[in-house]
Amino acid sequence: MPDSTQINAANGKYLALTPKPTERLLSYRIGNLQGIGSRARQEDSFTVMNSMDVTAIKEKGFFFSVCDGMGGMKDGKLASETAIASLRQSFAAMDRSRDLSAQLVESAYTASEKVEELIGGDGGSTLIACILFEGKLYYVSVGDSFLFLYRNKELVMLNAEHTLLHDREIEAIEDGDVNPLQFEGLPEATALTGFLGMIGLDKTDSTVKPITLHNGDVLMACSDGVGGVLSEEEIKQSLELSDVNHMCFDLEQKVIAHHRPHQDNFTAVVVQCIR
Amino acid sequence: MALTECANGHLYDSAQYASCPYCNGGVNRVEFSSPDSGIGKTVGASSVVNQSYPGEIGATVAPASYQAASKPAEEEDIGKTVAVMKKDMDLEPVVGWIVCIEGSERGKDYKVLAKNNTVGRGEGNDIVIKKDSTISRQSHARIAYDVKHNTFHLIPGEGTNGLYLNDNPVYVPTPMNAFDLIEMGESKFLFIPFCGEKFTWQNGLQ
Ligand SMILES: [Zn+2]
Repeated sequence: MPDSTQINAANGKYLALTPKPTERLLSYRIGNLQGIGSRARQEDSFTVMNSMDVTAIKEKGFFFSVCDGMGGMKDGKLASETAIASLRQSFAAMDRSRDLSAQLVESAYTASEKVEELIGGDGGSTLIACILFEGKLYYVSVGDSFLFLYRNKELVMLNAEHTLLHDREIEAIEDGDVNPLQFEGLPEATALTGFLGMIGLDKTDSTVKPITLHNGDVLMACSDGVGGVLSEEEIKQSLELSDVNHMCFDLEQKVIAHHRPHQDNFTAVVVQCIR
Repeated sequence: MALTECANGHLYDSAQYASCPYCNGGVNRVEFSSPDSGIGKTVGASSVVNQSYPGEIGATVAPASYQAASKPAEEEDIGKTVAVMKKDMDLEPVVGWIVCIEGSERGKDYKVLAKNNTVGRGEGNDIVIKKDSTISRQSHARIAYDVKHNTFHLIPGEGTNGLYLNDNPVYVPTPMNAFDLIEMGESKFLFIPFCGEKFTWQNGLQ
């Protein structure tokens, strides 16, 4: 393997945490991993909130988010960090007695406006943001990052990607075309049609009704440096492991083992739900 | 292990790291007026040591000589997340060609653009070889041009009918040079670089 294709494993870090379980409620075991891949810079950002504080999780919920800043345009890191900072602020200020789905979507648009103000529409970030509150999952997604749910030995991708490929497929299906897969391989198929910071952003994907979490569920939010590199089978095998330490370690090792010549920044937050 | 959630919401082991190692990867700090956001606090330089895996495996993660990532971003857009923007759509200059010398499209040339070019039978590929049914429809192989290093690589794709460079099977990204012979399916191609020592789009004619 030539040197130029080696992934900088040095920056792939992972860690995990186990808050004390409380009665009846689900408890969460949380891990995160991030690596720079073969890029010059880390343009992914992520955050977790209240991970150390069981009382806060109970009263305010647990929040986590992954944002993949778009390189090749203006500063991707600035975009993803701005988005994360805005989302943290929004989450802290949410009214827990009102509909969290709507507030989460609202927080995505607020973040988008802040990114747009700073970068002027020429760049931006993808978004996965999740709230776990009272045993339920609320999420919002923009762009081509990934949110997976592992449950009962099945892996499901919860969010819809906002890419040209996806949009064309949806259009084709709506037009009665039975072969939407014809668009796969379009040169710009994976280009984003929606991102935080986009002028006139008009679509997000989100939970209308929250998803009730079960004992043993594992959630993973990740950038396409993970979700676009590993197969669903590989991800599933990682999320089947016994605890988040192993999961994060295994995911990271697998990404590195792929030896992608242009390995993108890779970031994931993994949450295991335990009764 | 002394697990800590840093002010920006990263989990790390404060027994191993003097300050959050994830925060130090950022090149820009963002500040909002809210006193609670936790963003904008300067994080000191960390001396990162090897991080041992906290599970039973006992493995050690690769030495973490943390890279202060602050290089300019002009290079290497291949594979990056890029949004659909009109101004970006029409600007992929030609950097070379492949020419079919054997097979059903013998005599035809195909442009290699300044990107990661997919090669396949289907219309969606960057390089379309319609008539050889033994070439995979989608991305049999890829020909990548690295703007930064001005180099070409042949990269295996989804093709099941073989990919050879100068008669050697290609399993990993392999550098390509002028008049290298590419074989896929029942076709053979010669590679002709346009960008190289004598010319690049960045620096012009040498
Ligand atoms: Zn941090």
